[in-house]
Amino acid sequence: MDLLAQMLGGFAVALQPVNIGAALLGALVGTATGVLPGLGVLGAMAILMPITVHFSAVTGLIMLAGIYYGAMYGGSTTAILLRIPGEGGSIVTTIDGYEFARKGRAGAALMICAVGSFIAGTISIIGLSLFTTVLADVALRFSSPEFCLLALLGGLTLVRITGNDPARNMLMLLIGMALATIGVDAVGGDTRFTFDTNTLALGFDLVPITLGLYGLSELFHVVASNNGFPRADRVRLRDMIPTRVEWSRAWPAIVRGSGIGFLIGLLPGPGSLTATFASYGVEKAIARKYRDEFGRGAVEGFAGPEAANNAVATSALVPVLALGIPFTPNVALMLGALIVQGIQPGPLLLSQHPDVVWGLLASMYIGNIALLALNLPLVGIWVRLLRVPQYALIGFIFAISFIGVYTMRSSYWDLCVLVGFGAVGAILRQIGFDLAPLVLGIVIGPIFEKSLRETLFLSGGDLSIFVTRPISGTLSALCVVAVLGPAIIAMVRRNAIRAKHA
Amino acid sequence: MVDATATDVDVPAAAKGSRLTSLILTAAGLGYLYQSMQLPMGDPLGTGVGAIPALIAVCWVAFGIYVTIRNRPVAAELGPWPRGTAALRVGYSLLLCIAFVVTLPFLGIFLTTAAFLLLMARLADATWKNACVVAVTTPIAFWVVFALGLKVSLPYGSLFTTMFGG
Repeated sequence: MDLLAQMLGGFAVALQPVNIGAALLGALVGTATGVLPGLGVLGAMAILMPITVHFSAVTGLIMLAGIYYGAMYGGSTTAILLRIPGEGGSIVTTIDGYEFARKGRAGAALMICAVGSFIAGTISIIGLSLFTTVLADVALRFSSPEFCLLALLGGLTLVRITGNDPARNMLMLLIGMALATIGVDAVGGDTRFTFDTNTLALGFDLVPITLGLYGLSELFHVVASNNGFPRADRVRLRDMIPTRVEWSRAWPAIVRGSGIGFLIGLLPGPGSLTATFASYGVEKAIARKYRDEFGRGAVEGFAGPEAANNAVATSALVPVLALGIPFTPNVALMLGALIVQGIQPGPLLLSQHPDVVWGLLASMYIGNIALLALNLPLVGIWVRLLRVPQYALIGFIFAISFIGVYTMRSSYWDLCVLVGFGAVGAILRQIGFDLAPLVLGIVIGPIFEKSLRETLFLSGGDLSIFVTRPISGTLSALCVVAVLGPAIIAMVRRNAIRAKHA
Repeated sequence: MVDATATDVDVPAAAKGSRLTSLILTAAGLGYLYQSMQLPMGDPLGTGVGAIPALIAVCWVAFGIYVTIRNRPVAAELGPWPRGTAALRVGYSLLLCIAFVVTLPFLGIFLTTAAFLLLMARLADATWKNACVVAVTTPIAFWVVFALGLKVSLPYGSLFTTMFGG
């Protein structure tokens, strides 16, 4: 009953005209950026984040969530129509979604994805509401050692899961954490690494760094290729209605994908790729009648993964809302938006700022409806967006990045950081360094430092506090598993293969 | 954006670039370690303002050395390095970005953005006419959205302020 009252309170916040407008605008702008090849979800969020700062915390966050959802939807549109995945989670959709579209059923594929995303969003928002409350209650028992270990676990898991080289990822994570230490120390208020300059005392803000690393570096890549955008066929509204058979095959996959996505999203690490591939694997494994169609346009092959992708995006917010610890760069950016607004995320967020949490949850529901209601009729416009000349878009995106970053703090230093990290990001990506750990390092660095120093104060420098308390002991064990687990699994596999050959 | 057409890197060149980058990052880590060692470590040990940076720096240098020595080339997300005209395009766009930041305090948002967009559009093979249209309309659109809509203070530049008296 209490939950229902809080949810209704959230809807009261989300249904304010300014917040409905923010959700709609975010969904539209997000879809537009998701459709255009060149910017991923993170790039789109980073470019538009400075604009959200000019609104209240809840409105800004609602807009950012709309951008997040919209960009993912736009990504799946290009995955189906052009075989270009807008972001990692849409890679699976390029297999069967594109093949399905080639059969002349592009419109139906888009409709199934949109409805599937809506159902997945609905299921996972209900789950998110329940889990956030329960986890926030548990998190109230957490103290500094637990938060320190949670931050460490988030970083270690990302290092293990993302990209293809954990050592390089670890290096990036540490550099991100080091960057976060420049400026004013969050514990004692002392300045450090500033070389007696006022500029460095301001520290490195998350937005220009992320925007430089993801937005500008990607734009440099687009400028280098100068290929223009690919063209897609026209999709008519009347072609978008799936047949009865297509629906009957799609909906069970959507429900299964929603469940898989929600559960995987709760775990540390970038879950969208894992969830979509897991959903695809499950659909293929349980398929009987249509198994041969997988890889050649099976409805289940894109309905399930698209639902999983949407569900994972929602449930990934649970750790950040309940614990204040982000496990993915996208969510880290949302956490950054909260911090910029002066709101400290953590277990007390739910009790201190219920309007923000419940308003965000309710707005996600509204954002889902907005995507369904607006994007399907507008699919023709999204496809036509690809016909906008590249020369107009490139300069526009560059310029809006500059102005957006400048207007955040009226700081020329932030513009220097933006361009500098744009160049550095382009080089690092070209060499094969993954930048997600660096961004996460900047966010979890201060949480890790503050909680570790507080823990050492509490224990008088005794490190056994990390294993003697029940919750911190469990988290310490999970950190060890995150570091050693993959190596042990690989060793067991090697031994099994050797034993088989012997 | 995940590039579906991403190819494996030119391995010897990538390995060389990777080693050099790792070496530079390790050197930066050593500089950071030196600076953090100048700060107090606290009593009990680890509670001072320099303790956690020192811990991070030690790990940074250790991983930097490991990555440099091992030097495993990995498939880059973006494919091979841009060469020839493509490299010139990137260099030119980076120069334009630097020029934007340098001239903004003097020329202000309108002139700087207009000049940036004009040159950027020409870089992307727009005709002079189309480039001029983009250069004129976009700053006006920005002014409407940011200054009128969001009530944000834009940098009008010392030239504009001198000419129009603030």
